[in-house]
Amino acid sequence: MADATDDFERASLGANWTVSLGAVTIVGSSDVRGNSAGADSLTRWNANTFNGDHYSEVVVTTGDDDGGGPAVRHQSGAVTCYAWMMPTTDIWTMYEITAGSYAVLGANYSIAGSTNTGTTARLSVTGSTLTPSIDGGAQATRTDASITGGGPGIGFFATTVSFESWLGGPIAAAAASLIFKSNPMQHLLVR
Amino acid sequence: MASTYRFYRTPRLGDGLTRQTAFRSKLNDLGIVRADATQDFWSWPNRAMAVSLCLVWCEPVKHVTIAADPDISALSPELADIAAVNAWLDQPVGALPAAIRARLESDGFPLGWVNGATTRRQLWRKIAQQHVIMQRLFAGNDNAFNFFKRSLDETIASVPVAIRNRVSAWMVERGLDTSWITGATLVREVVEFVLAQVNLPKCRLHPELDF
Repeated sequence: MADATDDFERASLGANWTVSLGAVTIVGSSDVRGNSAGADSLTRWNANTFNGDHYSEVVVTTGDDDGGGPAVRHQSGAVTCYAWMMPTTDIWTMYEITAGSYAVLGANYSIAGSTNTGTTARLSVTGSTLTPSIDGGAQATRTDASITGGGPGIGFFATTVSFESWLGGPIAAAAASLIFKSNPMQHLLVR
Repeated sequence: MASTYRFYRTPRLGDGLTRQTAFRSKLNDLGIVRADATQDFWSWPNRAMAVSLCLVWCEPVKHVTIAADPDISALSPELADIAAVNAWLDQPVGALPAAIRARLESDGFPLGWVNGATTRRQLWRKIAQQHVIMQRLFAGNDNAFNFFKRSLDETIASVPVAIRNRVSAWMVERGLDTSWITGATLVREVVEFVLAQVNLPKCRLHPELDF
């Protein structure tokens, strides 16, 4: 399927997003942000069906110490996903969130300037490998196999960070190598 | 100085209820190692046990700082690269230091099956499988998860009936024999049996390390 995109140029979040935790709102008819003071929010793009290998990407309008970031494998009807979010300026953390229970996967990331306005933050998941990137530059991967399926989304801490656009879509599989082998014995066996 | 790899056992902090109190390694709070071009660490977030097993890649001076923390145990020497890590893993455990054995067992990893011929990779594979089982049980909101939080030297009779009934049903669902288990059987015996019988896919701690 094709990539999905949202520029949030409207008054309300709309039906293409399902909020699974907290509240999410449009600000200034141009950006999206969390709307739960002092608490986390998560939303999942519901307008398309994705396979388990996909990505989610946001462009930062306002970065902040109570930030947010892209989420993948967000399950329908559950607070379960992987999310790569900024807990403080220029620091990113990979979270595995299962039924609302948070766990940190590996070291926090220290990336100078990464929470500035205009930064593009992406999280891709393929198999059990999570690959975050900033402005196209891949960061260290994490591995985890506890969440499968789901779709892309966005996470927020509190109400201060905002994103001006979102992009999500499938990760193209490597060209499948389809080799049909003819087995003469097979013809004998099926008779 | 070039960065090197080293395995550690660290406390697992947090209760998971909020992102501020997420389950995490103590290494996250120490802030000695943050992921960049010269350093990183990989860890398993264990929700059942207050332990986090980690592979750390950083400069030797930082390894010294980490190893000096009284709550943290080094589980390997410093290893130059992933090839050296894999070579080290494929060597026999040998005489596992008593302090390390006691620490891992108190964490909930039964090691009675380990002998001199056991390779380190085989040991990590069991630990990885135990971790994956717990992850899946937690994700499924399965009460059998709570069985793996029990002390290894507890008897089955002392495990709350709802938990032992559920873990028994969970074993039967996987085709495992439970007829040998009595009230006097130890939790460690059941965990070791489960780990010997299940055959889960390989698990990764680091993108280039299969267990």
